[in-house]
Amino acid sequence: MRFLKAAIVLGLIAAPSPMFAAQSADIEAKGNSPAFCNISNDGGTIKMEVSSDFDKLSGQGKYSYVANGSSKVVLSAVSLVAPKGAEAAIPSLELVDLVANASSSAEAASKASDGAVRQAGYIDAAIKQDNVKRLLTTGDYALSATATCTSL
Amino acid sequence: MRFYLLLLAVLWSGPALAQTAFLAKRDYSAKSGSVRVKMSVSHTRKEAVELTVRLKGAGKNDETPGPILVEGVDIVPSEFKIPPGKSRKLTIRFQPDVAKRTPYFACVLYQPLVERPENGLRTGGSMLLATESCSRFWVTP
Repeated sequence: MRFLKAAIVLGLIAAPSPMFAAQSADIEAKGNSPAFCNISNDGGTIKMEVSSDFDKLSGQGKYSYVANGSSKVVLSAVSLVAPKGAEAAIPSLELVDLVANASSSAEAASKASDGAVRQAGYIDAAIKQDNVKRLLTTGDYALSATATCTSL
Repeated sequence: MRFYLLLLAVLWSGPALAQTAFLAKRDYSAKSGSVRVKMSVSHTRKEAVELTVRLKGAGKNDETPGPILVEGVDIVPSEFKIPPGKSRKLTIRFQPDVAKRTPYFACVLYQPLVERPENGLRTGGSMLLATESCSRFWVTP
């Protein structure tokens, strides 16, 4: 009997048993996601067509805007190239629901986003007459601008 | 490793046609007299494109990029052609003269190719929108 007791005690101590397995495990996983933002003009050059009243050129493209943290978008002043001797006209550019600019000398900025953004929308580009004849002079017109997103 | 995992995630799920600039960190010290910023650039367009990297100072506020800085700025490489899905490492070195914590902006610009009008006989127009992605970082004296 004494031998049996000793064998049982020895077995409990020496044998692998769930009773003696670790009761907790420290698992630690850490990571960091660096901030970024993207703004893209998804359609390349936007072609603008003249209106039936010949007073406006307009065209539409698409943009996408993605950021994984606080960010904002700035639209530069809109540069207009018009035919030589053309009547006065006003250029405008809008990233719909984001930022618009109708100035050829000042930039425009969106509000800073509070957090992550994934947004897609239309780009509206236009050149509208700004003269007493209410006409755009015939010829080729070109607009250019830069949309800049900044990861803050 | 996590940096490249994020880059992969952006390339995989990101928007079409976008360029991205990643900075290794956002805070730099100017104690040694110069700052060395490491960054990585990629894009998701369908074909190889020419990208331009620029350093900008602050504009009208701390959140808005301002003028392009060129004096004493060394960007290697500053212009390069890169295929889609690849990342290009580059370095910006400059000597900031700052008296307080100051924001700077590392930017990557994509300028689409100009398409010539199909004809010059009737009134028509084109709009060219360049896109730029900037990352703000701070330099302390």
